[in-house]
Amino acid sequence: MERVEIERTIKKVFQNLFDVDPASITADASPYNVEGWNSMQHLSLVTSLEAEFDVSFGDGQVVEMRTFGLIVKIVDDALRKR
Amino acid sequence: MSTGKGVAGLSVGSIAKLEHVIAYLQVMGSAADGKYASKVKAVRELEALAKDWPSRVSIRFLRNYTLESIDPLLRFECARSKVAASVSFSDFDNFEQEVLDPASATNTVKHDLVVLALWLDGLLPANDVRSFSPAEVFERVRRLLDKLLQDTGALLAVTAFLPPFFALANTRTARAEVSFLRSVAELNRRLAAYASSTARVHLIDLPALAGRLGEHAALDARFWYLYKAPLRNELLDLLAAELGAMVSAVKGGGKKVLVLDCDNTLWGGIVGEDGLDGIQLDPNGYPGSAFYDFQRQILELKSRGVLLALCSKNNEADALAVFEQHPHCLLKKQDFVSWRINWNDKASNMLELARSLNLGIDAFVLVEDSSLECDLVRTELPEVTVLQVPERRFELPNLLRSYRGFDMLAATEEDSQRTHMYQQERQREESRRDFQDLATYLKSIGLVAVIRPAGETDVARVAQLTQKTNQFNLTTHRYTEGDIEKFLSSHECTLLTMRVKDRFGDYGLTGLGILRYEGELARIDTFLISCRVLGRRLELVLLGRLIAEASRRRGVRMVKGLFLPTRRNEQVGDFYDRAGFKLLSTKPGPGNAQRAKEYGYGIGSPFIEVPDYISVLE
Repeated sequence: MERVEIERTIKKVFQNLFDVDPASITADASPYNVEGWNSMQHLSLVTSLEAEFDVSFGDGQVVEMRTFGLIVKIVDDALRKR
Repeated sequence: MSTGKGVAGLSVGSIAKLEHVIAYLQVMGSAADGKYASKVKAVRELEALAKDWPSRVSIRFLRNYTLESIDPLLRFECARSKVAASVSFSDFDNFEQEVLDPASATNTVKHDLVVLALWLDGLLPANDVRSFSPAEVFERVRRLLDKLLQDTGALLAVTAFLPPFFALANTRTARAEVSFLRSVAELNRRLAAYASSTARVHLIDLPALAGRLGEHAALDARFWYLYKAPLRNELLDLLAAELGAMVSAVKGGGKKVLVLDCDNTLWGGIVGEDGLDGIQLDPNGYPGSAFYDFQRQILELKSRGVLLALCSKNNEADALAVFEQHPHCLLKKQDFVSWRINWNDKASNMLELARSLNLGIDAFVLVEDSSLECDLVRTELPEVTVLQVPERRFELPNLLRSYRGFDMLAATEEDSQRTHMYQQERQREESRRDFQDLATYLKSIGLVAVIRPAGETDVARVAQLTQKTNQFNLTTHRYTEGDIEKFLSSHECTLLTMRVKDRFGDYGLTGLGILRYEGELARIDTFLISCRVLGRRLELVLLGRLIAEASRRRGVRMVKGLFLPTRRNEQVGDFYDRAGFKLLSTKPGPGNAQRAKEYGYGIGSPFIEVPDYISVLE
């Protein structure tokens, strides 16, 4: 999957879960600047991404998903290894 | 699901009526991708769009593990039955303090449903790592439930326990006396026995729900060890559906009638063309076996109090011949309270059925095979739930198995007799035609009203009446069994029930009045009459007895009655005027043409004459 498409799909998940404008999401979007992205919603975010891309993340990856940029990289890795 | 694009011809932005929102939700619910994030978005949009929810519930979770993700799923399930839900959670590990502390959020806020969701690890003694005593854990849970029963009026749900992640499989050690899985099973058995003997406590069989999905789809060891969140969204979805069905049974649309199409719904083939011998209904062949099982399910629903009706495009004689003559047809003519078998359109026929049964159209569920007819009814009557017969006929029995709209929390005696009662009503109709005027007719049927204070055995039926009565209901206050029990044990309340019978049969408990005392004042909190006994002026008898009851209480000088308008209770807008009460004040009703009105009646003032054709017993 192309990097742009991965980003677009992740932004859609952000939009659905956190009610944010996809255009406003930058690489450094994180729990500090996205309202609603708290520790509870992090679980929903992870499972939603897994459902969206049909992948499964390891415990290290789950903890590492601290910004939008990192999430894109982790999803990309997971898709390559599939 | 994109925002701007509507389904069922609706643009989301313009959705105004709740019915349309619900229709949108129903189509979306089945058509949507079913993904968690989509549901989060859908429920957010719905709550922003729909302002006039007919009812709301507050749901409180007492838990010792992370399950916050269930919040939007549960709101989604409740919205399906037109209920706006607010969901809250106890702090992570203080579920016991929440129950015991009178100042806690569980005890100070009125919740409709309290869910006790516990994970076994948190309840185990630290010193014995091999097993635990099911009796001790059960006692701990039971004490909590008992306390909740005593202190709150809420309906209670408790989830059965899943084995902890560390529990070893029983394979090859089945004979071992000490085994976690055995102890968990024993604990769940005790919990189930307790729940089935306690009216307000409902057990949710979480292990069975997990089993439906399989362990890998249901549980998440990763999130358990990272965040103490053992349940996957797929399992939370099923749990939300179970809880949603409980909410719907108490607060929801109150489906009462199952309307069935005939050809290719109750049997395979078209009786008008294939003939009585040509249709498929033989349990020893396919697809007859699927239709036969479907009829079985319908009879089971009937025994739970669901009314059955037919609505079909056929020659009436052709269709009725199947019920009268086909050797494998389980359903008989007398199982149906009414039918419309003709060539008119289904929407008009459904409306006629509703009128003839004196029920709101939103109490109806239609099962139909034709997409055309399904669409017509969905468009014309969005309040009706339409279930379409699946193309693959072996899936037909799954249609009712997964439909929860008829769920009832406690079946009452009246439920199992309902079809019979509606049939007695038809005999009364026929006999009524022989009389010139109503009074003469009513004199001839030997009408008896038995009015008594409510007792413990009436709790389920009384709560059900407050939940289901829409038309002759002055205040439409909905109460749970817990609320009713509280009224019964209070000295500041009187609950009068009315049972009605005549020479055709027994109507059962069909009238209710609740008085609440405030010093010199007796307020009529609830006054309702089931639609089955309307038109006999029985309401005056019950009101008269209610006033007599109030005047017997020391110090009471005035009875106050309230009319709160809804979309369904226009007919009682002038009830208190007719009964000789004085109008005290009016207020605009919520989004309604009619106004809320408060009335007063001074003890000792003249009261309208009670008809002499009713014998009143105490």
